[in-house]
Amino acid sequence: MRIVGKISLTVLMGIIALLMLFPILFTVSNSFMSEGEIAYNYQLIGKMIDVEAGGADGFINVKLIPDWLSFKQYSEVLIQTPVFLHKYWNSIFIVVPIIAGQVLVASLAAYAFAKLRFKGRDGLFLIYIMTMLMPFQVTLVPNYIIVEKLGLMNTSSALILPGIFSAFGVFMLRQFMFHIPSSYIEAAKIDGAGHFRIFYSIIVPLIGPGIAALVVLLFVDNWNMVEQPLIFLQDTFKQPLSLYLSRINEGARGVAFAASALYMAPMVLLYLYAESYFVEGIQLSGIKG
Amino acid sequence: MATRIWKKGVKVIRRDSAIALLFLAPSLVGFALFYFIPFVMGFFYSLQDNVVDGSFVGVDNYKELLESSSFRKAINNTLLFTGVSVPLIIALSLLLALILNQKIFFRKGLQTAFVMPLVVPIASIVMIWQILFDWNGTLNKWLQDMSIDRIDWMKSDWSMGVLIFVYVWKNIGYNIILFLAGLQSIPSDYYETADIEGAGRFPKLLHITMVYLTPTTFFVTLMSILNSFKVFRETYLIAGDYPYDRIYMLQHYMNNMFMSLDIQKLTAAATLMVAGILLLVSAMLYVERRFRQFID
Amino acid sequence: MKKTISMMIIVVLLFSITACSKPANTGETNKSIDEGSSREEAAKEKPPAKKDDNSPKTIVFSTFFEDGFFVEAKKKYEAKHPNITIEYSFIDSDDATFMGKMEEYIKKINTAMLSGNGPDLIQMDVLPIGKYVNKNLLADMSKMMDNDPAFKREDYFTNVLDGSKVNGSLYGMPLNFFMYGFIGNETVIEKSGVAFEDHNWSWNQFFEAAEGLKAYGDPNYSYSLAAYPEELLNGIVMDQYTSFVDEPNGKAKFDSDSFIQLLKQVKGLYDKGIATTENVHSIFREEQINSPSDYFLALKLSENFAKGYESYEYKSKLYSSPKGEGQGKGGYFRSYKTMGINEKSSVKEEAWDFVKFILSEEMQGSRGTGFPLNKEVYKQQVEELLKKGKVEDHPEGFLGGIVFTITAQDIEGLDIFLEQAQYPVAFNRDQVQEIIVEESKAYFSGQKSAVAVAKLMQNRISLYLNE
Repeated sequence: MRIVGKISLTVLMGIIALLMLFPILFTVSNSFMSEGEIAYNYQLIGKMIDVEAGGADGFINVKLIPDWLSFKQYSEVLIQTPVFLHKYWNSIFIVVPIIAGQVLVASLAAYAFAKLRFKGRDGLFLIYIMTMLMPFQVTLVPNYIIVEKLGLMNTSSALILPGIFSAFGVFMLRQFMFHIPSSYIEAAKIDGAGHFRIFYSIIVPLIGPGIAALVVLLFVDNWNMVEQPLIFLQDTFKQPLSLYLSRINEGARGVAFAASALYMAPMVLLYLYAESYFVEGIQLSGIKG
Repeated sequence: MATRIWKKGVKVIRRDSAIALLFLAPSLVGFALFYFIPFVMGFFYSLQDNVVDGSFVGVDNYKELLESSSFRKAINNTLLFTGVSVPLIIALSLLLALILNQKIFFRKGLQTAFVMPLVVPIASIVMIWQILFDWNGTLNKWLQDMSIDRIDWMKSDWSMGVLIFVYVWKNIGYNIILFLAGLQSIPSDYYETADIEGAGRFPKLLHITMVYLTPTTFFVTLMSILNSFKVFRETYLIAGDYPYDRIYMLQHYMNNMFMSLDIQKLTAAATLMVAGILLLVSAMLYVERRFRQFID
Repeated sequence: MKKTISMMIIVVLLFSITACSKPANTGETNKSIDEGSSREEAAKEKPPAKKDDNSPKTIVFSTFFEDGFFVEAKKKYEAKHPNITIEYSFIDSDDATFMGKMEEYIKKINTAMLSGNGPDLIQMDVLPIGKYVNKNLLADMSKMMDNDPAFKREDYFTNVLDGSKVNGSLYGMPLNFFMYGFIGNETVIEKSGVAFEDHNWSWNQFFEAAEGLKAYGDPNYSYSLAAYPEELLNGIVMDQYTSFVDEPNGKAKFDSDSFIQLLKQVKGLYDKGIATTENVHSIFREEQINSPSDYFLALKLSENFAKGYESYEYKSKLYSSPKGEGQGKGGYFRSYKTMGINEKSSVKEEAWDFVKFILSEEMQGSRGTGFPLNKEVYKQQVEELLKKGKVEDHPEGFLGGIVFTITAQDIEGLDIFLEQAQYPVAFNRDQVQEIIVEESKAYFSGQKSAVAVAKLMQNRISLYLNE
C-alpha cells in the first residue's frame, strides 16, 4: 500500500514537474530552429489577420521539434554578435561582486538583528523591510542624485554598491539564524568565545543552507536586473546582458531562443551546484562538540 | 536581588549594543546611503508640488491621488491579485516542499524541475505567454477545435487568472528553495527526540515543522508579496502601460506616473502602499516575537 | 564553508580597490558623454553668467539619435565662439529596436531632468513636451524671444510658432516642419462633376464626395482613398477629439452609439470599395510634404503614375485634409527637431544663442529634412528651384530619375498652404491614439465586433484619462 502511494505521488509530482519545465524545454528546443522557421511559426503574434482574406483559422502553434536541426542561432549569437559575449562578462562582473559583498555584509548585520539585543532593533528592522518593498521608480530620482554626487554615474559601481547593501540578504539570513538555539551561543560564551568567534565558527556553518539559497536567489535577481543599468549606465558597451535580452523579442526574435538558452545557463549551473547545500541539510549535533 | 538582575540586564544590553553596532556598521552605511535616504527623500517629494524647486503642499497630492479612479482601480486589482495569489502560492509551495523533503522517487530531479521556472528569462516567458494566450494563440485554437468561442485572454476578466497562473508558476520555485532550506535548518535532534517520545507524523508536522518554519514563512510571505509586484515586468511587455483594466496594478500606475514625470503622485502612492504593508508586517513581527520567546 | 567565506572577503576587497581606482569615466568606449563628470566640470567653470563674458562654458546637448546636422552645427558654432563647448550626446543604438530605445531615452532624460541635472538643451521630439512644461522643466522661449532684440519673429513662420505653443507660450522651438495634405486627381474629380470646398471640408463631406466619385466610376480609379482603416479612424477621431474624449472630467465616449456608428462607417468605406488597404493608385492620397521640391515631386509623380496605361493625362492638385466638424481653415503641420531649453540650466542664454544659430540662414540653408522655420531660407530654396526650372526624381525612385519642369505659378498653392498651417500633429502618437489603432484593427479585420472593440477602447482609454 505504501509503495503504491509513493508511486502515485511521484507520478503526480512528475506531471507537475513537466509543466514547470515546459518553458525551458521550449526555449532550448526552439534554439535549434532556423531563424526562418521561427519567423514562420510565430508570425501571427499580436496580429489581426483579415477573416475575409482567408486567414480565419490562422493560429500560433507551440512547436517543440525543429524541422531540421540548426545551430545557426548559436553561431549568430556567439560569433556574429561579439557584443553578446562582452555583455555576458559585464553581467558576471556586476553579479559576482554583489553576491560576495552582500553575503558578507548581510550575514554580519543579520547576526545583530537575530541574536543581539539592542535598542530600536525591531524598528530598524522594519525600516529595512520597508525599503525592500519599494518599487524602484519611487527612489529612482533620489538614487540618481546620490549616484551622481558620489561620482559613480556610468560605472558598474552604481549597480554593485546598491546591490551589496540591499536589505534582502539581511532579512533572509536573519530568518535563518532564528533556527539556531540560543543555548549554543550561551555555551560558546561560557567557553570564552567572543561574538566574532561565535559568528565565524558557529553561526556561519549553521546557516549554510540559508547562504546557499541566498547566493542562488541573489544571482537570479541581479542577473535579471534591467532598470538600474538602463538609468545608471549610459554606455551600451558597459551594460549587462539582461538589458540586451529584455528587448530581444522586438529586435531579433530569430535568435532570441539561443540567446535565452545561453542566458539561463549560468543560473542553472549555479543552482545545480548550490542545490546540495540546501537540500541535504546540516547535522547540528555534528558541530556541537 | 531584583535590582541586581536589572543591572545585569542593562549591562548585557549595553555591551550587546556596542557589539551590534560593529556587526551592523557596514550594512548601515550602505543601506542608509542607497536605500534609506532615497526613501525619505521620496516621502518628502510626496508632500511637495514639484520635484524641482517645489513648495510644501501638505496632503494635496494624496487628495488628488485618491480622487483618481484609475488609482482606486489599481488598488482594488492589486489587493485582489495579492490576496488570492500570495496565500495560494504559499500553500502550494509549502505542500510541494514538504513532499519534496520526503523520500520519494527521483526526489532530486523533481526538486530541480520545480525550481527551474525561476531561471527562465523574461524574453522566453513573454514569448510563451503570447503563443498560448494571444487572440490567435494555441489555447484559442484548442477552444475552437472543441467548438467553443475564442476567449480574449488578456483583454477580459480572464486576464487576472492568467496573471495569477503565471505568477504562481514563475515564483513557486523561489518559495520552494526557501522552504527547503528552512526545513533543512530545523535541527534533526528535535525530530529524534519526538520519535523517542513516540510522536506521530501529524503532531510532528504541527508542533515541530510548522513551528520552526515560522521565521521562514514570514520571510516567504513578504518575498511573495514583493515578487507579486514584479509580475508587472512581464505584464508590461505583454499588455503595455494601459492594459485591460482588470490587470491594471499599482505598479502600472506608478510606472505611468514616472513616465509622465509626476513624481508627487508616484511617491504619494508608494507611501500609501507602504503604510498598508506596514500593518501587515507589524502583525507578522508580533507573531515572530512570540515565536522567539518560545524558542528561547 | 570557511574557505568560501574567506574567498568572498578577498573578492570584496579586490573589488573595492578596483572600484575606487577607476576614474568616474574614461570615456574610451563611445561617443556618448558622461554627464556626471562633465557637468561637474561645467559647474565649476561657471560663474554667474553675464552677457559678453568670455569665460569658458559648456552646453550639454542631448538628442535621441545622432544627427549630422547637429554635429556640423556644433563644429561651426564652437569655431565662432571659442569659449563655448557643446557636449553633444545621443543614444547609441547598437542593439534593440527603435521603440525600445525610445522608451529608454525617455526614462533617462526624465530621471536626469527630475533630479535637476538634465542636459541644457534637448531635442524634444520623442519626449512628452506638455508634461515637461507642466512640471516647469522647460524655459519659456516666448519670453526669450521677446527679450532678445536680435530675434525677429517675422523672419520665421509665425503660424508654426503659434501652433507649437503649449499653455500659451513657446517651450519647444521647431527647426523644421512637415506639411500634411491630400493630393487629389483633379482631372477625375472635375470630370465626375463632384463638387466640394476643400479648404474646410469635414470628414463627412469627404465621404460624400468619395461616394460621388465611386458613383461616377472612373475606369482607372475605382478607389477614392488608399489608407489603413485604423489610421483613417485615428485621424478622424483626433479631429473630433472633444466629442469622444472629455479630458477635464476624465470621461471617454468610445462606447457611445456615435462612435460605434463611426467605426461602421469607416468599415463601410472598405466594404463598398471606396477605400482600400491595397497599394494601388487612388483618387486621393494623404501625403507628407517635406520641402518645396518634395511638393513638386509628389504632385508630378502622382500625375505620372497614371501615364502609360491611361488614354488621357491626369492633373494633380494639393487639397486640404478633411477636418472635424466646425474646425476653421488651415492645414496640418508636424514640427521636427524641436529644441527645448532646460529651465534649471545655468547656461540658458548660451543655449538660446545656439538655438538662434541653428535657426540662422547659415545652418538652416545647409541641410536638414523638412521645411525650414526660417522664411528667408524657404524663399531661397524656392528661388533656387525655380531658377533650375525642374525637379528630378531620385535616380532609384519609382520612375527612375525622371525630370519635371516647373513654373512660378506652380508654387503659389504651396505658399498659401504653408502660411495657413496651424494645426500641429503630434510627433509621436499618444496613448489614446495607440489604443485606438491597436484595438480597431481587430474590428476592421473582422475578428471582433464593433461593440466589443469599442468597449475595449473605452476600458483602456478611461484608465489613461483618470490617472
